[in-house]
Amino acid sequence: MNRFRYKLSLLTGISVFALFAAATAQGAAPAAAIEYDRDIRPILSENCFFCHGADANKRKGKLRLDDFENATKKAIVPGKPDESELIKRIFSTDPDEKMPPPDSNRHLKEEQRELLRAWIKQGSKYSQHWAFTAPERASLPKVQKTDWPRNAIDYFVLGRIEEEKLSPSSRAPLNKLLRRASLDLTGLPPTPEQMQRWQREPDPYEAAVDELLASPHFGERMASDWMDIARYADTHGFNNDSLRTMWRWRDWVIEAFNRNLPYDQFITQQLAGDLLPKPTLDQLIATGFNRNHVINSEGGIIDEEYRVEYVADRIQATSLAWLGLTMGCARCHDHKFDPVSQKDYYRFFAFFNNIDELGEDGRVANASPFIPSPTALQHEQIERNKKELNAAEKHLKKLFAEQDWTNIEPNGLRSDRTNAVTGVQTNLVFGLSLPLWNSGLLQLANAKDGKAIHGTKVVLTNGPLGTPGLYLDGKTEYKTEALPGFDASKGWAFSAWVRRAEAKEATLFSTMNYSVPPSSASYGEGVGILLSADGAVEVRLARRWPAYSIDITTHDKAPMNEWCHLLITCNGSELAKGIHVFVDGRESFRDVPHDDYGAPGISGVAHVGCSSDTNAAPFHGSLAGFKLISHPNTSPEPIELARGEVLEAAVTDGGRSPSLDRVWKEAWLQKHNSEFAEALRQESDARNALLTLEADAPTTMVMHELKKKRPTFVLFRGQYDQHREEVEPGVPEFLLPFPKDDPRNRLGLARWLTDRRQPLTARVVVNRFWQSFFGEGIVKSVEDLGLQADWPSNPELLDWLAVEFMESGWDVKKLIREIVTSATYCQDSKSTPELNNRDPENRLLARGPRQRLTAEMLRDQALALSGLMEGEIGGPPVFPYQPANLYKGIVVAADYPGTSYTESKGAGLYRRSLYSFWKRTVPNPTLSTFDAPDREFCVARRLRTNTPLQALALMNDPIQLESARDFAARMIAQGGKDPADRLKYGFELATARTPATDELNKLSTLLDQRLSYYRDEPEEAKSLVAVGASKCPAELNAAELAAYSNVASLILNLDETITRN
Amino acid sequence: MPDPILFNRRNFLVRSSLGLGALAFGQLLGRAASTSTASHGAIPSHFKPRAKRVIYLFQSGGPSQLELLDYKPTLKDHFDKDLPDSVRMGQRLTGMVTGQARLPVAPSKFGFKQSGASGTWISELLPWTQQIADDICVVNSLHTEAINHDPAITFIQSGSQQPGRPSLGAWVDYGLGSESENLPSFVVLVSVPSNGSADQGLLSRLWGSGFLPSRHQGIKLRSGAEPVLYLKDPTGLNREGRRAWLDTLDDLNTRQYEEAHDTEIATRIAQYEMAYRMQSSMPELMELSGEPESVFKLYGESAKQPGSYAANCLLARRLVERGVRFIQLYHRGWDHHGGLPNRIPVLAKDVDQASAALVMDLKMRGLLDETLVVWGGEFGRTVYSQGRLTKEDYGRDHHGRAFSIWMAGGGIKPGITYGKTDDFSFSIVENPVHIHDLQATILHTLGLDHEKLTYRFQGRQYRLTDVFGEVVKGILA
Repeated sequence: MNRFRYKLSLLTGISVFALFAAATAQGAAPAAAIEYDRDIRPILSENCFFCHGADANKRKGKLRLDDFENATKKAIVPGKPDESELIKRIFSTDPDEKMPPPDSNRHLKEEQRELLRAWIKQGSKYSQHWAFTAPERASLPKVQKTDWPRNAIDYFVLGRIEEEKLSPSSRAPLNKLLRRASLDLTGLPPTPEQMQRWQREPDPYEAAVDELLASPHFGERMASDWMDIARYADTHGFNNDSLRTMWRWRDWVIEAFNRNLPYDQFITQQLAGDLLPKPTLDQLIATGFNRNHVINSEGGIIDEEYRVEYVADRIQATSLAWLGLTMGCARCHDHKFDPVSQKDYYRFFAFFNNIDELGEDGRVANASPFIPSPTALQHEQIERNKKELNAAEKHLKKLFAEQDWTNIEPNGLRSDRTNAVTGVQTNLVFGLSLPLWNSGLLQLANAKDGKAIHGTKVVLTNGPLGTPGLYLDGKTEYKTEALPGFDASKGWAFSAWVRRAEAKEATLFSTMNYSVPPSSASYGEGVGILLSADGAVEVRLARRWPAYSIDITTHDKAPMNEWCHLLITCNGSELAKGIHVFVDGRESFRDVPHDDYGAPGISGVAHVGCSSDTNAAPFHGSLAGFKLISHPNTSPEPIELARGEVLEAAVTDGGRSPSLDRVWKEAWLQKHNSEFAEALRQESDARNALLTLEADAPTTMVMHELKKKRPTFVLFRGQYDQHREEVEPGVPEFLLPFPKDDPRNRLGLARWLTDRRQPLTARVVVNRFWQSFFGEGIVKSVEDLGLQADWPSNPELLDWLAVEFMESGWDVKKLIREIVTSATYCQDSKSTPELNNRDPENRLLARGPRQRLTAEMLRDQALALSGLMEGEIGGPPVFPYQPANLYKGIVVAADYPGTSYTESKGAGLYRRSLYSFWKRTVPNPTLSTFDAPDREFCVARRLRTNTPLQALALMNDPIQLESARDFAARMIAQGGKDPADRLKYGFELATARTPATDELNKLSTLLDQRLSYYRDEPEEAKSLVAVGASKCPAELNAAELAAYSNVASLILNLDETITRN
Repeated sequence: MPDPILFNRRNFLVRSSLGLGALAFGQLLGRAASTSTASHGAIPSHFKPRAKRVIYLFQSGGPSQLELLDYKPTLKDHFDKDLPDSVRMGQRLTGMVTGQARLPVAPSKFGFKQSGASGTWISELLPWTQQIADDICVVNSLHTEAINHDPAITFIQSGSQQPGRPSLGAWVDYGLGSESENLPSFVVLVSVPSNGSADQGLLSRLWGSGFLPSRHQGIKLRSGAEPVLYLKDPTGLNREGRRAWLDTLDDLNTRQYEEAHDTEIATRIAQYEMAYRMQSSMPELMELSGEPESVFKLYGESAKQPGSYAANCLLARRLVERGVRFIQLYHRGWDHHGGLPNRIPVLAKDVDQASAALVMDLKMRGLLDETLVVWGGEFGRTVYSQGRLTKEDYGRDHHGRAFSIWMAGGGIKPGITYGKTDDFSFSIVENPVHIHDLQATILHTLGLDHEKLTYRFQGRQYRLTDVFGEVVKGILA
């Protein structure tokens, strides 16, 4: 840390922009004064810092070259290159002397050596890395072509262009520009209606930009870029790669861009939404950003090893997304290039290390922690239902209270119960009835040593049904002989009466096997029913606790010192949805803290009033009427049985217990008062509807802090089990000290990241937005603004944008508007051989941007041009066409969700690609072919390749062919009567340009050829147009449609069509 | 001044019929025109290559070295005895056996034989491999840090246990480029065991390009009519139709190039032509019926079954003949935690004959010298039994501390056994070969220095072997 204070003080008073003054586009050697930051550091960093840099462990010869003080102690004599050891060494030809050493694979070019010599001669001045100093707004450069700039961006760009003796290109033709903006801002081509409407405006382009920024598709477009950084997918990755549900997070992102959520909030909510005061559901969902990482459910992994990987992934994503630092490098050792020590890394790690999560999780569904996350529509329904339930309950209460109970005799109700029970019992498949008071199965165990002691006196008590119950003293452990065992996947029910004598957490019943080590694959296997201290009922079903388990906690609570009936039914499913908990005969609302693959067999020893977990205290209270029934799936008998029992008990109880008293009175009223019966039915309907709605709401994985802080240690070589020094949460303070008053948690971290003085965040963000529109960032390495970063093509522009962005209140739409309305952006994208020579990558921006459409845009454009697109926003992933047997021979053999692919029907085939199901281990092949990453970790820029497989995909992917067919039909229907007009219409739709005569002639020739072919071969025509699931427009002549399909497909394959230009 | 890149389709076709010009060649390899060079790969060979191509016969799931290649005759004296602590030395166990009370030693049920003039010990489960004993180099001292499938297979195929790095084949493709004018240079073939049980998934990242440009990713060939996705034109569009279509497309794109001067357009035109040629070359490649009966006799009858391991081995030979650089086969199903003695013979039978036949076939055709063949999985298996142990039945858990592979051909010393494990095949006692060493050695045979084959990503130079790896000189010819 101290060394950077030194470096900062060194920089005091030096304007950052002085450093930029002589910047060149390519970072090549400038003619003017040498700048350490731009010219020298990259050379030293690439060739010397590995052994003579910040990492003390790798340092050779005790020499540091990364700061003035250290370098001038030994190797450098400022102003005197010939006396500098560094110069001697780099010019030496002696292999023992030469630097970098010949075996290092590093090599200095002649001009680099000369540059170092010149720099030392000029005084070997060091400076702070430009990106580590807060950006300042530079004044606009003076330009000659004063009528060109439209906004500040243009002054900076023109300044550079003129410096290089170039001139900007002319403005792109309006239609071309409208298409470019539409694709850039919404990912979709403009519709003819839009084009016509905009043309009528006084300033068509401004009007288009306004409309496009306000379009709901704007959020989709921006979200699409964000998905790669956030490594969003619909599966967990790794070997099993089963389903997860995170689309509510994806929709949050779309919505955030659409409502122009200020970007500092965009950061804060994703990083720390859960730590905001009274967070909203949306703010909680936002934290899914840091849960999008891969999660491993491979049996036998070491839990902690993977948990540590998840935390490391969060650091990678967070630092890449908002700091533009490759902090991951410091996981095993001090960063080689950037001033991030290994200790800094683990201090950062500590912010993300306190999540209530497991290393091994997510075999069939979301991994904990997750929350129910109803959509806005579902939320509305739920709220409406809650109101209904509330009203129904109130009404019921009122009717209940109005009844005079003085002379009413409950006994008449008994016969109902008897009937119910008789009916049920004959239907039981297998009854393992454990009436504890006379079961031969019961053994009594000494609490201390766990050994069975036969013959201990059982303390009996009166059960609610007049039969004896068992009194448990909170010290003694009871367990059964081995249960016969049955297949729990076929469904079962558990029913018992409970009376609590002490308000503490305890197990009522458990077959869970805690006697093996927690690392064992069978740890905790079985079923457990517990009471929490407040009486809430917890149900656990585990194949392995807690990784593969279901955990449910009821809202209803068992009262103290009163009999209460519990019924748990399970339909054998592996998810919580298949489990219902009834308290006193009525289904309880519940929370589901964990929900993954919990359908264990039930066998072995059952513990009663305790579990095999020797650390857990036994239950203190009474139990009675104990039943564990193997029962086919969802049939209602156990519920009827329970209701009957509860009613019977209520009658027997004779009004001593308030909750049971309510039960018989309700039953009596139901029988004798039709108004009440109706009200009860309404209440019950509302309750069931609400329960179903809640169970149907998707869940989303979120960040959730553990109550008790998990300590964080420096991990030697990054190994999960190699704990070294313990550290507290903290940041690399050379960037900005952590604010004193802010909490040392993720919320404090978010505030630090979005602080006006933070040098990196705004630069990183605006640079990435720039990349979205120009294909490359102002700094090409958008993921790395550290010492190894590419030199910015226009540093002052970057800083101006960063400052402007922060001062605008992190207004994303304003920033983007500024970019796309600049004269720079609006230039024609045509190049010339001369310009290609001078600036092949268009770093100077003397022409407009030109880039192939992204994988997603390519498909979306085809769908839009053909009219097949279903434009709905958001929702669960859809399953578009995928080559048959794509998963065959690749995916895991077990039938986990996501190991097979069922194509959507109807609309799901034609949604935007953003919504296509994304399986990490087998991503959609066309998306991959067009350079989409597999989303196993975060990626901030896609490379753009150009391959024969891309040609094949555009030629023959069924969705392209089906789009071509419908695009053809559209040309025929809307392009007029004349074939040339139709071709022109299609060409214009796709390219926003009128075809030249020779182009049109070529298309016409092909059309004529194809037409005559298909007229001769009607069967061929029919089979060509039969492509896809959508209906072929029947009224069209097949030969004609086929011929136009060929041409439409060609138009969709034109370089111009697949390019934003 | 004429634009050097400017050419029209006809000009292009003339070039391709004459053999490709340097520029067009670079484009055909899938390089963006702006970065294309005349060289085949990104990196010139660092030294004289011994092999030009690689066939990697990957045995996914972790084949048991104790049953196949690492002969341990003294184990029978330890039947059902606990693995001595002095051998285990506190090494970590997987979550699958931590609950097990004992770690009882399970000697292999299967016999071994000294084979060939070299006297290499090879299991009776691999009678065909025994016949090529003098052509292969058995390495009994491979080791890895990973103990579970996903990290282990990712490690051996990409040099890192965590996802995100380019695969071995992608590195080779990046380094050397293609030799083929009409086939992809990195091809993947997947087969499942004949008994159909394959528990572990394969992950497309195993042949992915990681941070390298996606053109370096492996192309998975599918069995059946369409070996490459979207290769087939739709019914209703015949070859002449496609040609006319493509001619028109090329003309319009060429016109656009002349207008916009974007070199990507020139590349694109070339890629469409390559795609067109692949439409004929790929089906021709997959068509095995022209192979003489003697070939099927050599590889086994199952080579007639598309998608079988034997058919894939035969395809591998055909790919090698056509200049494909890296052929990655996968055979799944070696994960024998239980019932190993009944299950491993099925797998051995699946792969033994065809693997050996491939080596014999390459040798006969004079291709073995320039083709490196690697046979092996992601880790080995434990000497102690997982689950119940009897003389006839036992299981084995994952074991990364020592396992066996074999290599043959280009640059590898034939007829030797390299490296040695202790009497329990638990730890290595002589010449350990780490995963990174294996990777360095594979690159070395191709003329690539693993320390120089680097790619800059997120601020640092990455390489397949991270910062580790040494070429195993002892196995080089």
